[in-house]
Amino acid sequence: MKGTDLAFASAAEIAAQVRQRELTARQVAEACLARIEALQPRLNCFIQILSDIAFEQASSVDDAIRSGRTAGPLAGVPVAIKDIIDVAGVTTTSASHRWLHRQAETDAALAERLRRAGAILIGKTNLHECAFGVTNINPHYGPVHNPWDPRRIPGGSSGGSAAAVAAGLCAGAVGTDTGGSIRIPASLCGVAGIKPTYGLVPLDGVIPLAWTLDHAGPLARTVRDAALLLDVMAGTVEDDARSLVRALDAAGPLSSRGASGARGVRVGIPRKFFWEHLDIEVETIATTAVETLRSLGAGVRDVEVPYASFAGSAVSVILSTEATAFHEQHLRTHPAEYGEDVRTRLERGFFLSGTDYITALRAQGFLHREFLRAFEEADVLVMPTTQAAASPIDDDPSSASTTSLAMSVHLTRFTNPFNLTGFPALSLPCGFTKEGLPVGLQIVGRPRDEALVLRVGKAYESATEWHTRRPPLH
Amino acid sequence: MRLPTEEDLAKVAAALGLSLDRARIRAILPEVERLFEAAQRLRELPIDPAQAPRVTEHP
Repeated sequence: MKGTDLAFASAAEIAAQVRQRELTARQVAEACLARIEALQPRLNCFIQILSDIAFEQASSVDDAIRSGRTAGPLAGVPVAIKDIIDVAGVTTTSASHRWLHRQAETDAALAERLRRAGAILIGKTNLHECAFGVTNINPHYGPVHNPWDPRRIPGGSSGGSAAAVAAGLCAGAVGTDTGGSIRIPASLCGVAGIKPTYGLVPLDGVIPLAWTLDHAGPLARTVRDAALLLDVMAGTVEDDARSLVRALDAAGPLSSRGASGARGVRVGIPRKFFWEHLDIEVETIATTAVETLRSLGAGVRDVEVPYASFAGSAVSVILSTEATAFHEQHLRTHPAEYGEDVRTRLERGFFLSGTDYITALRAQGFLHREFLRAFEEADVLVMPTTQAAASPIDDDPSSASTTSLAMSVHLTRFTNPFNLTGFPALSLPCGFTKEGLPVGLQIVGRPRDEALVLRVGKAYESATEWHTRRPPLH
Repeated sequence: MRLPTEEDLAKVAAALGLSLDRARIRAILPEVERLFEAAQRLRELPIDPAQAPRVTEHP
């Protein structure tokens, strides 16, 4: 396996070939770094390329295999890390001004787990400044370009991670998600991305945006690869009974209903709010995806999610208050070091009161219970991930900030309710617009029910070919 | 409740010791208004008055 085949090989395939000595981890790292070098000028996915760390890790994996020691489940798999997550010996930039950078002395817990599993940490990916926005237009490091149309945004804030996976620059990547920052770029770049249940993946060594809403999770080209990465990041891989990949691969009954694939799964369609104000192409594509799930044996029914429209209000208040609290000291002394849109988002937080914040936290508890009610009639909820496909990059200084602020409201509408509730939510490709832009489908489950969310996603993926399409990069 | 004005924000900024000039206040006013409306809207939810907030973990 080499060239384009290797660039778009799955993590599972790469790890299997490296373990069987059909391929060395060094060969994988070399191929990956060469492709990054070729495409970085066009896509700007990376802030830092970790060649030395990648080769050192590859040698360690190859040595282990040569000497007959156990190689991890991600042996030789190139993984990119969002540059808001610590990797030992590397500066964590948050894609922000240099005064906000920090030198990481140790790996973030999730990065350490990936390394221990044999992953090759190939680079630190570009993001919306401080992970506080969805366009990935960055005043310090430049915009990330969508591989499907470089004139368009990749979505954010984990835009570099999603674009790198879509472009075949790595087999998987890590993102963070406070209002949709894994799922939005996954949707706009045509890859799979899962925001797991709140707290499932440790956030030690991840620079916070808003503690109450922050999550970390994987992006990959297939649902199975996302499960493989999540197993490692969540620490479940060493506990076979909790392994998500084991759940996906098992032939027997996986749920209490004894179903496999999507058969027998009750798919809830929350028409009100989550299927409103859609771009017509997105609506058509997502509706077809639901019909595919029905054809796979899922029971599809409309469900109510009471008070869904209030979730975004609670997220806005909690996010603004917590982000401003985290940045307060620097914001007071060096406000001009933030990009215009992020500065505005942070400064507005000063004007919320303590009672506003507590009201939002009380609303969080209330809405968590209300959202759970929808799961009395459904096992998963399904909806489009975003209302529209990727929009053009607006980096005109006179309008970029206003566009960024508006896009945040627009693109997080269907994603941020699940940061508030902490429910697991997967985005996976479900079609393309006439302009060739990917559209994402979001599958949401009960807390800690990642296995079912991933299982339904894998069933859909197995019945379709969207995940096999490649962006036109020549 | 009425939306905050530039004057309101200027007073709060001064009280909090924030170095926001009038141009900056004018620039952020629409976002402050949006947040203010969001915070007010949450008060319409039928939440049990005795319900405690969860500060560091999800329910």
